[in-house]
Amino acid sequence: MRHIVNRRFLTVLTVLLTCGMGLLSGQVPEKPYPPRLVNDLAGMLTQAENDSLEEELVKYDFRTSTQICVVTLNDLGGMDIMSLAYKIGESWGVGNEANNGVVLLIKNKTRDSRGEVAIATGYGTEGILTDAVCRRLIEDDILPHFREGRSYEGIHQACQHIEGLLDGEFEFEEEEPDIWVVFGIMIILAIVAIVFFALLIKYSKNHPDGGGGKGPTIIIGPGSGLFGGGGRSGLGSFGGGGFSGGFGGFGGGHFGGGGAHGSW
Amino acid sequence: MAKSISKSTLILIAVIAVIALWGVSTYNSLVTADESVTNAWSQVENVYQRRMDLIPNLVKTVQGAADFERNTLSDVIEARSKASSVQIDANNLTEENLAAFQQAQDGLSAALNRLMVVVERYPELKANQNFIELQSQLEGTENRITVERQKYNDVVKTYNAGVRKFPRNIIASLFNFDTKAYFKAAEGADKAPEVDFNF
Repeated sequence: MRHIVNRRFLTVLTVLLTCGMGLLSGQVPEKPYPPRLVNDLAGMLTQAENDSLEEELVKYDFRTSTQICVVTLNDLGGMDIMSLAYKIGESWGVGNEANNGVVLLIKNKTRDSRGEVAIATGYGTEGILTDAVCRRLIEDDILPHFREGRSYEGIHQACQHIEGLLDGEFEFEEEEPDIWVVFGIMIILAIVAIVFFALLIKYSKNHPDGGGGKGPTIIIGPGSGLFGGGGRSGLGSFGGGGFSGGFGGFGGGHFGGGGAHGSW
Repeated sequence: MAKSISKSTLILIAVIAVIALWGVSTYNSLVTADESVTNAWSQVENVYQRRMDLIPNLVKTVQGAADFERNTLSDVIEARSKASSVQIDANNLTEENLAAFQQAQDGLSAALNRLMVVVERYPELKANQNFIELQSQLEGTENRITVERQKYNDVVKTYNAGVRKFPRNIIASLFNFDTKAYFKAAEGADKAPEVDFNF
């Protein structure tokens, strides 16, 4: 008797754990770690399509700082799709300082429910991606393809359209290292160095072998890393020279609840 | 010349200085929290205003196609003027004021909902490009209202906690920082609305 109960308990536990990738009722999906812009939780894309879209969106983020995040789900957990899209955007922090994030949320069509799609726009994108524009994107770019079962084409066309619309609007702010911070750090380092050398000299005078020619071999050269150079600094971002692949992370953009939705 | 200040006087001065510094920093943080509330409130007002601005166009579009629905339309117009007459200054976010504001806005929401239900009976209207756009703008605005109300509530929560906790509440009452009111949540605001077609 006990044996059977344990088995059942294990099955239930396993089922609950595997639901972790989707949604337990009323919850927002977990922020992906490592961070990804394309989160195909409903398996609507092939691996190749997923990778190609991810690469395109990551490049776009790198070039313009605008983050377009795609999420597909099989179940909304009872939530309204626009609320969920907003919550994903806000809680994952899609977009950078300019609040230029866009969330494209798709709930796949199932045997007993319609498919739904929503676009949630970050505050900064609302001027261009108005509610009406989002509605058009859904009607013209997404739904026609989705009705024919072409998920990738629908998503890709919408993303390209959004990329085009937002092109030139946003760019990364070059973070100039604060001159006073740099100055302050240099002063502190100078003091530390002086104290260090003073102690060293004092110590070596007392030491029988000390003094004379043996000098310290410590290199105090923090290099460009400490002062941040001219590139972007800050948590989760990813600057420097060329594009070397990989999404640097969500930038903490905020959302206002705008956008549009549709179904098929 | 008297001898140097006694030790206990020095200690007293030090204690007073510490209290004064704490007082100043508490006051400043209350001001910051207050400013956040004012900011959040103006965001709320913005999105409600956005809704107000959509209504004249909506009424005009519906009037063209659904001439029989005069009552429903005039309800909306009336509710809109009532809502625009209830304004609150950020310094007066008391329970009664906010309740009155919320009631007026909810009245407008109800009138709009009734209008949308009625429109279901007019297929030409539902297919009208202008109407479709207005509808999606209205929906977007309703979402924004929900979002800004939530953000406002969150900010007020932080502010109220700052104003009520001890010992900060001493500074708060000294300088007349009152607690601010919250928006009351609508029932099931997160659930997808069900449209019932059986009147």
